[in-house]
Amino acid sequence: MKVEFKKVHCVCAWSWDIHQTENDLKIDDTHESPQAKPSNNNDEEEDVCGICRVTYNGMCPNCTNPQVPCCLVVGECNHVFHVHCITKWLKQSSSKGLCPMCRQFFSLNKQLVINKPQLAAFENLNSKKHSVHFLLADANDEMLLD
Amino acid sequence: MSNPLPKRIIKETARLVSDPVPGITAVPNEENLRHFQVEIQGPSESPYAGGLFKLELYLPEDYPMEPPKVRFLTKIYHPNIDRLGRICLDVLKNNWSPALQIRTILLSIQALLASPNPHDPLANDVAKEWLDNESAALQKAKECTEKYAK
Amino acid sequence: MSKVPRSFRLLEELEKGEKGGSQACSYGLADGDDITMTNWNGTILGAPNCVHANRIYFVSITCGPNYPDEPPHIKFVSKINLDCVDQTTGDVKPEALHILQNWKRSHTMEDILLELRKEMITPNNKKLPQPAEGSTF
Repeated sequence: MKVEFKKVHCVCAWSWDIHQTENDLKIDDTHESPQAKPSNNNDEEEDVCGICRVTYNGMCPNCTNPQVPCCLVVGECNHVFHVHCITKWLKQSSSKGLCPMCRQFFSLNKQLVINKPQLAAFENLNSKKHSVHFLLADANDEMLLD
Repeated sequence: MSNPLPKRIIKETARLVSDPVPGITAVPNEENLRHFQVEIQGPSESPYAGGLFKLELYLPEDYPMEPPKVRFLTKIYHPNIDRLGRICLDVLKNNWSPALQIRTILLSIQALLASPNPHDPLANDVAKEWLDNESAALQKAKECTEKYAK
Repeated sequence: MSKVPRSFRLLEELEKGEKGGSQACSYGLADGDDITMTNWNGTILGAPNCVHANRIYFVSITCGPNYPDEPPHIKFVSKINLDCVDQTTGDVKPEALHILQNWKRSHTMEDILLELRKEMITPNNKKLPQPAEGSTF
């Protein structure tokens, strides 16, 4: 039998590789080694976004268009989220600009390449948030005066 | 009409069933999978010990950006829970974070039963009693548990 | 949209009512201890520039177990002469009030009270003689 290739389609698969960086800094004794990925489906052990709990590679529920990649961002605090999830959270005044995991002020780790395309957008978010803070502070002062 | 249930809610529900929190059960309503019937055992060493308290929990459309809504269905004598079962708890309001989950919220409510906070009251009359005469308040809470939470 | 369960919906309405939404009406639980939140009291301030001006009407509202999938039952406590109100019992006839007839889950008790207020100034109702102020059904 003779097999003739008429056409070859190249496909590739990729996945986020931030497991390492995150683990180096994560204080989590349940991970003995970063390589040994636990295979059980226990939510807490997998690499999932802390907001939507979908895997880093998966599309988050806030994705509107499958053509737009659902990127990850890493905070100064080293917590990782889908960019759509953390943006939605930070846009809410109730977030007070805090990281959902550690409640520290959330800003992107500027050293990481993965954050580069998002830096401008987050700068913008942060400046807006500050003005909201001032407004809230003013409103509180007024209430105290009343 | 309604949107499919987000994966996070499906995961949380599955885990509540497969790996339940000791002393707490949460079962979704078949007709509305965002609406849970909850039962919490009163913590030992509290006036609620031995009681089984029914609650209901609802995950709003914007969950987890917004906190779940929770209220007691069983009458309870507690300074942070009012007559309609509404709960005054920071993580259900200003201190909500999307990293919290149904199970962590229910644990916080169980912890609130173990340590009432009369300085941040929702039921003012109960809180006053708690501050003025704690032993009488604890006795009332015990009696209320006997009467309604059995 | 997901369906907000009856109890949380009623709590939302209660909180809105406590904050005092509309100037023209108010509503609250008839019994603050009733964990089922079934019975409510409402008031409607009479519409201006007509016989109802400056009058206050009291109504009772009953939110059954299927509220808000089904509309509540409304009954006037204060006597009033309107097309949609049964003149012997004070009950609001659901078939005679548009909002009750075309009930939607998103409608609230406040919407009903405001609609009843608008009824007072429809051409039909405007001419009707009214009972003495303060009398009850």
